[in-house]
Amino acid sequence: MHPVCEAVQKVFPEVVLGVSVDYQTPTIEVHRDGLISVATFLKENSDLDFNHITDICSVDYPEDDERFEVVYFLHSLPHRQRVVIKTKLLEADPSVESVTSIWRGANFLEREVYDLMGICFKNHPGLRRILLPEDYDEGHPLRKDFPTEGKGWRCSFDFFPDLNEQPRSEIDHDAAEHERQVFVRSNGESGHRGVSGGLQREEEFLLNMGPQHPATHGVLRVVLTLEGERIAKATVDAGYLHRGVEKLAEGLTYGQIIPHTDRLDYVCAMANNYAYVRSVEMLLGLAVPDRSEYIRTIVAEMQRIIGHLFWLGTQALDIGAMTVFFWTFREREELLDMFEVLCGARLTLNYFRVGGVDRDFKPDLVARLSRFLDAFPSHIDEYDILLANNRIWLARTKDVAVISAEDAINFGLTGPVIRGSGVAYDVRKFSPYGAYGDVEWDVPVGKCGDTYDRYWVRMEEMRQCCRIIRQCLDRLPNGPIMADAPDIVPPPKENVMRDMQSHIHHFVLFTHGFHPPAGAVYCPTESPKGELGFYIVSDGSARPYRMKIRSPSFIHLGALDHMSRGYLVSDLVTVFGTYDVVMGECDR
Amino acid sequence: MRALLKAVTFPEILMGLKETLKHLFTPSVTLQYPHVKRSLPGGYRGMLSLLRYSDGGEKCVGCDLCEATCPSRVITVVSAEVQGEPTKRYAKEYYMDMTRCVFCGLCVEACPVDALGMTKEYEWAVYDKRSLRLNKEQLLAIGDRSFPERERPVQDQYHNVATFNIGRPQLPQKQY
Repeated sequence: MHPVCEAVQKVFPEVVLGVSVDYQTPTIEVHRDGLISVATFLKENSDLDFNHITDICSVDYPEDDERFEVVYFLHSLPHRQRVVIKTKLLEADPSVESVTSIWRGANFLEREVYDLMGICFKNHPGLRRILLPEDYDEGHPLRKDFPTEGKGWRCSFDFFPDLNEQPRSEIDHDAAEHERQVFVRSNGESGHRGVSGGLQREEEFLLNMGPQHPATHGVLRVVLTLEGERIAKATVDAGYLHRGVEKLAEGLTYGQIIPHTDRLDYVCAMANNYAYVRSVEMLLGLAVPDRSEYIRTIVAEMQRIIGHLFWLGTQALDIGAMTVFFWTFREREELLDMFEVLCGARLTLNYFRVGGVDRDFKPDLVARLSRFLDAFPSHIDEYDILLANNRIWLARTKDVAVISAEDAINFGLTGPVIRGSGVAYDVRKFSPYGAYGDVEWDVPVGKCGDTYDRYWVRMEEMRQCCRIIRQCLDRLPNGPIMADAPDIVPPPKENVMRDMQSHIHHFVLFTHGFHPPAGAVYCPTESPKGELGFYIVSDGSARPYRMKIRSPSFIHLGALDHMSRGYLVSDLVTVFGTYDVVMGECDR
Repeated sequence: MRALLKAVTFPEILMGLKETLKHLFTPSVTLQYPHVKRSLPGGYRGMLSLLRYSDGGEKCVGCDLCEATCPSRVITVVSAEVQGEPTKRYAKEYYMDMTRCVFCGLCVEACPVDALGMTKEYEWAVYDKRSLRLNKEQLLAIGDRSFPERERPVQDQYHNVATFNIGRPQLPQKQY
C-alpha cells in the first residue's frame, strides 16, 4: 500500500472506505462526513504536507445509489507527491463540507462544482454560480440528464436571424426599478456609510470594470469596491466566454476533442493540445516515438515563447509602453509563420494526435527555427533595455500585486505566478515528460512575488526555452512520428485504398474512435500560464465519460481579490495582466 | 551624487530611446494587407472544397466519414447509388455549414479517397450568414479554381485498389 494511503488509513480507519493506486497516484475514497478531518490531516501533518490544492472535480453517475462523486486533487510541493481524495454523495442530499478554510484556492473550484453539478458546499463563504449567469434557472449542465444542446430559450436560439426582420422596438425598454438596483445593499440601508447629510461623506464606491474593457484581455468583468482610489474588494464575474467544452467533450470521440482544446487558451494552442493528448496517452498507456517526443517538446517551447511574448507585449501595452508590443509581435509573427508551415494554421493548430504529431519537421523548417534561435536572445535584451531599468515600468510593477510564497501555494497558483513568489514548482521538473528530462535547463525563480519578479521570471523562461529548443534540435532523433498502435493510430493514408486491413482500421477509427480502458487519470502539463491538467474519466467507451480541465487562468483569478486589495484602480490592470489570463481558458 | 545625476538625466530612458531610434533604420516588417497579400505555405488549412478526378468525375463516394469525424457537425452528406452501377456510390447532396467550421482538417484527414481539400482561400466574409451554407456545386467550384491539377481516377492509379467504388457496369442489376 502507498505510504500516504497507509498514513491516512491508520489515523482514520472508519472514514476511509477504500484505497488504491491509479496511474501512480494514490487514491483514497473517504466518507463524506470525514472529509474535512482527512483534508486537515493531509494539510497539517508535516510528513504529508499537502499544501497545494490542484483541482476539484465532480462526476455524475446517475445509475448509482450514491449519484455524485467529488474528487479533490491535492499536491504536496515539498514532497512532490500527489493524492486524489474521492467522496460519494447521495442525490437527495448532494452536500459536503467546504475545504475553503484549509485551502483558499478551493473557493472558485467549489463554486464551479456547485454551478455545473449542483453540489452544495457547507460553510462556503459565498456559494453562487460562477461560470453561468447568476439567474440561470435551467439546472446544472454537467449532470448527465442535462441535454448537451441546452435547455430553455438557449436551446432554440436562432443562429440564422431573419435579416428582413423589423428591429425590435421593445428591446431597450426601461428596466424595472428593482432590476436597476442590483448593487444597492439589501440590508435596508441606502448604500451610504458615514455622515450623509453634511458636506463631506464617506461611502464605498462600486466600479464596474469590463466585460468590454480592452485591458481585461477578453471578456472578464470585475466589480470593484473602492475606498477613494484604493481597491477594497474585487469581485470577479467570469463566464462570459463559457462554451461548455467539458460537456461537449462527453459527446465527442477522443480524437475529435483535440481541435476543441485549441480554443481553450487560444494564445497557446500547442500547450493545450499537448496537455490533452498526454492525458489520453496516459489513460491508454501508449508510448510515443522519440522523434515525436522531441518535436512535441520543441513546439511546446516555441509556444511558450509565443505566449510569453504575447504576455509581455500586452502587459507593457496595458501599463503604457507601446513600443514593446510592436517588437514582441514582430518575433511572435516569425514563430507563427513557422507554425503555419508546420501545420497549416497560425493559432488553432490542431497539431497533436493521440500517439504522435500530425506532420513532420522538414529540414528547412529546422534551419529556419535555428536562425530564429540565433537572433532571438538579442531581441530579449532589446526588451530588457526598454523595460528592465525604466523607472516608469519599475514604479508600475515593483511591489504591485505582491503575494507571498505561502499564500501563492494556498491559493493553488502555478506557473510563472508561483515561481515569481519563490516557489520552484514546475511540472517539467517535478515529473519530466517529453524531452525535458534529457536536456539541460533551469527553473528561474523570483524573490519578492511582485509583478516585476514575475516579469523577470517570464523573460528568463524565454531564454531557457531557447536553450531547450536548441538542445532538442541538435539531438532530434530520426524515426517515425506516430506510434505503432494500429488500434489507436490511423494507418498511413496511402495504404487506405490499397490494403484491406488499413481500410477497415481507417473506417473504424474515424467513425467509432478507439476505446481506452475504464479508469480515471489526471495528467498535469506545464503550459505557459501554469499547470494545465486534464482529468479524464473513462467508462471504456470511445468518448470520455467526464473530462475536467484544470485551467490555470481560472484558478489564478481566484487570487485576484487577495492580490489586488489595497492597490490603486490603475494597478488592477497590472494585476490581471500579471496572471497572463486568457478568458477562453478561464471560462472554458 | 551619482544617484542624483541618474535621477535627473534619465539614462535608462535615453538608452531605450537609442534602441528605438536604431529601429528607425531597420526594414519594415508590416504588410499593407488588402493591397499586398502574404504568400501562404503549402498545406495551409483554409476554405474547404470538393475535388474532381482528371476525367471530371467527382471524387466523393459519399461514405460519410467526414460527417462522422467532424467535431463541430459542419458536414451533411446524402449518398446514393450511381444509376446503373450498383456497387458505385456518390454524394447526391453535400452541404457544409461554414459558419460552424473550425478548420481543423479532420475531414480531409478522414477522407479515404482524398475528395476533400483545404484551399488557401481565407477571405470569406459575407453579409448574410446563410450564404455560408455551401452545397455540393459551390464546394466543387471552389475546388476547381483552387486545385487545377487533378489526380487520375483511382482505379487508374493502383491496380489493386479497394473495390468498393470502382463500379462494375457489367454486373447484373439488382432484382427488386
